[in-house]
Order: sequence, then C-alpha cells, then structure tokens
Amino acid sequence: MALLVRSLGRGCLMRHQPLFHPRQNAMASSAYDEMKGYWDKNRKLQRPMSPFLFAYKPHLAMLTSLSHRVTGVAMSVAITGTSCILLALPGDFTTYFDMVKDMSIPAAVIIGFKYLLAWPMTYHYINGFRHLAWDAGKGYDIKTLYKTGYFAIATSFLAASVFVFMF
Amino acid sequence: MSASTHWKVERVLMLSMVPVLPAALFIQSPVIDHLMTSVVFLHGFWGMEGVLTDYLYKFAPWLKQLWYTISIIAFAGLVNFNYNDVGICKAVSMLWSL
Repeated sequence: MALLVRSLGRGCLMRHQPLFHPRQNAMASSAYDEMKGYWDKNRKLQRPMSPFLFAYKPHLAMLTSLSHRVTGVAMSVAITGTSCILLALPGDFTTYFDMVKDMSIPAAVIIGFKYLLAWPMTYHYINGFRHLAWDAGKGYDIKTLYKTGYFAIATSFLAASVFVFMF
Repeated sequence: MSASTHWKVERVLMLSMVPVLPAALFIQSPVIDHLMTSVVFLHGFWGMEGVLTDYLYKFAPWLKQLWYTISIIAFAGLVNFNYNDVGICKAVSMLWSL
C-alpha cells in the first residue's frame, strides 16, 4: 500500500515538474534584479511612472503624511546645518545674535520667521501622536483618521500662534 | 541590532521626547540642553536615514557615508554648543526675544 501511494505521489510530482521548472529558474535571481529588469523595461518602452501619482485625487491622509515627512526633513536639515555652521564660524552665538539684533528687522518679518520655526515643530509634535497611535495599532478607522487629521492641522496652527505671540 | 529591535528603540525614543520637549520650555539647565540635543538629534538622524533609504540610497549609495559624516560633525557641534556656548534652550529663548 505504502509503495502504491509513494509511486502514485511520485508520478504526480513528475507530471508537475515540467510546469514548475521554468518558474523556479526565473526565481533564481534576487528580487532586486527582478525590480531592476522591470524599471529597465519601463524606461525602454517609455511607459509612464506607476503608480502615476497625479491620477489620485489629493486627500487628507496624503497631505498629513507628506507634510509630516517634509517638516521632519526640514527640521533635521536645519538643525544639522545650523550646528555645522556654528561649529565652523569663529565667533560665539551671542556675537551673531547681537549683529542680528542691531539690524532692527521689522516686526512682521520677525513674526514670519517665528512661524517658520514654530509651526513645523508644533505640527510634527502633534501629528507625531497620530503616528504613535498607528504604531500601537489604533486609529485606522477612516472617520477617526479624518477627525484626528483635521485636529492635528488646526491645533498645530493654534499652538504655533501661541508660541509666536504669547512667549 | 535586528530591524524590529531598532524599530522598538525608535518608538521608545519618540515616547521619551513627548515630555522632554515641553520640559525644555520651562526648565533651563545644562541637563535639559544635553537631553534635548541628544533626543532631537537622534530622532532626526534616524528619520532622515529612513527617508534616504526610501528615496535616495538605491540611486546614490555614497550618500550614506556623506550623511553619517555630516551627522557626526553636527552632533559634535551641538555638544560643543551646549558646553562652550549659551546652550540650545537659552539660544532659542534669545532668538524668541527679538
């Protein structure tokens, strides 16, 4: 009986082997090679980029996600750049601060710069809570997503205004 | 460090930033200065690392060496600023007094 089952099984496998063989050969290359081939072919045939980003109607989740990355990158670049420049400059912070102070820059420009510094911080901080909640597996429901999204945008501008005018 | 451990370390860092950032508004001390620069720098460094991995490292792998070099210099600059200059919290409050 065992011999019968085994020989039948082997027969089945043998019959399938020609089907499996070519696929196994194609999968011998790494995933990265496969992707490279795909992109090369797309370039050669001049296909449009896929996913074609402008085909999507912009929505809130897209906006909040993108601005989270943009504010994060901007702040990281600003901090890294400022730190490197201050390290390279010969004077100390107070010297340059006094120089800027003596320029007597108009109040409107100062307010603008304060918003430029404060808003990315408040937005990234508040929207960061949404990301932490998602990491904990909560808040994925579409209604909640929109509610927290609008809340993050509104409170970030409110908090930035508090920093600009009340601190 | 495995990727999942790294992910957890990043989340712990983010959670630690939640109280540290508001604290820096009200407490001015060298401890807060160093705590601030360390957590903010590390979060920014790993955040940028993620962005660069997503978009740029596959086209220009040498950017990794460049980003690490710049980051080391920048962190040295932040530590130096806290030790030998006014410190990050005082610097921001000075800017805000303009």
